[in-house]
Order: sequence, then structure tokens, then C-alpha cells
Amino acid sequence: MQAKTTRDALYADAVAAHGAALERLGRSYELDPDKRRDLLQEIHLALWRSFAGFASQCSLRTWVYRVAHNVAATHVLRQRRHNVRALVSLDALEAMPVDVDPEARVDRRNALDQLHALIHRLDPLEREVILLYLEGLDAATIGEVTGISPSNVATKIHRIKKILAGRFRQGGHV
Amino acid sequence: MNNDIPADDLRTLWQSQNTEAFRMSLDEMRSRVERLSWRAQRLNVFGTLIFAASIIGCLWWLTLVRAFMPRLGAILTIAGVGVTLWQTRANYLAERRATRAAVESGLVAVDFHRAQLERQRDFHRGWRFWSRLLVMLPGPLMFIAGFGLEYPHLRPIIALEVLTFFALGGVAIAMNRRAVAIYEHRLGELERMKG
Repeated sequence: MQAKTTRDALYADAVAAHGAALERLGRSYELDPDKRRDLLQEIHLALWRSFAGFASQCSLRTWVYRVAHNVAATHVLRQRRHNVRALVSLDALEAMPVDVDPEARVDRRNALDQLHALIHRLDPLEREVILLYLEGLDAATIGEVTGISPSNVATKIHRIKKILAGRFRQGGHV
Repeated sequence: MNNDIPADDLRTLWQSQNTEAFRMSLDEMRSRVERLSWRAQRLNVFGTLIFAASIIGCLWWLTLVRAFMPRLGAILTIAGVGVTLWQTRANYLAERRATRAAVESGLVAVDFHRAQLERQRDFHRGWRFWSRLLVMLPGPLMFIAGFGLEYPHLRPIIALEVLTFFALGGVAIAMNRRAVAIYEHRLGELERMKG
């Protein structure tokens, strides 16, 4: 099979394989629908441009996630001055008390909303790790995308699981 | 009823979100590149016009100053402000170019964030910081000294202004050193993440 090396072909392949993941990523970095559309356009444009320099130095998936998250992180940092609430690390999120409402029920209908609310508290690098974990990537691949060492990735994934377990029990709110 | 949602179920839930099939055609891509390029040029022209208008405004203010030393001090102050504005704008444009290049080179996140933090740190230290500070020194001092020579009865007030000027300089140095320390701390955290 002839290797596809043109920028346009690579972009088409990337969108076909990872377009849905990019949309979920966009939703995780921007709640406002209009701004999210702008962010997705920036991501797609950056991806398309980046393929001019892509020489299979990593897998297509890894490259897509690297470019997309870096665009999104830049977007978050630009918007930061308008945000009232500071972004936090996983450590800080883990230490925050969980509001317990015995009347509330965490069901699948509002679980996604709560998950988004939790993710939007995180600073960009921590957000990237949790998003890649939710996308089903293993620790080694998360390390390849983020540059974080495997042991640190494993620690963060352990913390993520603990945070998710604590906040998605009965009555838990993020 | 057990309302716990295991982490694996959350992953499944996450990946099964409805998406809107966002797409951009290649023509839309190229059109956006052209629009961005035109917008960058327009911002460049606008920034240059604002800069020129500021300098002209300051030069007009010079006409109100008669004596040689205050006039020379005013000219040096305007030049200092101009250099500072130019350096700040150049840094902003360089940051945008560097960010775009870093994004499109497929850098891992840690290296991407590290490069950004290093650029921001370097803006607050070394020759770039001291050049901004020192270029603002001679003009106001000369202006104030010349004013003091012209109006001897105002020297106590002028002495207070000189002290205030140096105090503000000290505050600027302290604030920039603090900014550098914050960036260094965050860079250290990034390095520890790499293991």
C-alpha cells in the first residue's frame, strides 16, 4: 500500500479516524458553543498545517492528540484572564471536599455534565491527562502524547480513578 | 439501587457522547488561512498607527516645555516609552509566532508548556527586562532635574518625586523578580513530570 504522504490526505485520514474525539476534546476545553466552533476550526487548521512537517515520527493518533491539545491549551490560557475561578491541579481537586446531597441521584443523564464540570476545573496539562484517559488511551500512550513519564502518568491515572469514584458515588457533586 | 458509576463505565459514557460531525473542507481551510493573514496585517497596521499617534501626541507636548534640560528630558522619556512599547509589541508578535510553530511541530505537551513558560520568564529577566527599565531612567530624571533648576521653590516637591520615581523602580524590579520565581517554580514542576 502506497504511503499517504500528502498533507491533504493525512488530514482527511486524521479527521476520519479521530474527528469525534476532537469534538469531545473541543467540548472539554470550551463550553460556549460559538467559541467551541472557533476552537475546533483552530484545531483543524493547526492539524492541517502541521501535516506539512509530519514524517511518521509518531503514530497519526499521537500526532493528532499532541497538536489538538496544544491548540486547546493555548485557548484556555488566553481565556484565563476572563475566568473568575482559578484552574487547579489533580492534587488540589483530590483535596477538595465533595458535597454530599442524600436526595440527589448521580445517573447517566447528568454524569456527563458533572464530568465536564470537573474537567473544566483542571489546568491544561492535567486536563489533557484525564481526557486521554477517558478516550481509552493506556498510560504508555498518554506518556507519548504528553511527555510525562510513565510512572507519573500511572500516579495521575490512579488519582483520576479515585476522584471519579469519589464524585460519582450516590449523591456526589463535582 | 447502586448509583456508583465505575471508572470504566465513565470512559464508555464519555466515548459515546453525541457529536455533531464537525468538518472543514480544504477550501474552507485555505479561506481561513487567508482571512487570518489579512487580519494579522490589519492588526499590524493598526498597532503602527496607534504607536505613531502616541509619539506625535508626546511631541506636541514638547512644545509646552521651554527650557533646554526639561525639553531634553521629555525627549528622552518619549524615546524610552517608544522603545518599551516597541519591545512589548515585538514580544507579543514573537510569542504568537513561536506558539504557532510549537503547536504545528507536534511537540509533547510538557515541552510545549515549558517553551511557553521559558519565553514568558525571559521577558521578565536579563537584558530584555533591564533594557526596558534603564531606557526609562535618564529621561524622567533629566526632566525633573531641569524643572528643579527652573523652579527652585519647588525643589522639596521635586525631591519627593525623585524618591517616588526610584521607589517605583524598586517595585518594578521586585515584581519582575517575583514573576521569574513563579515561572521557575512552574518549570520545575514540569521537569519533575518528565521523570
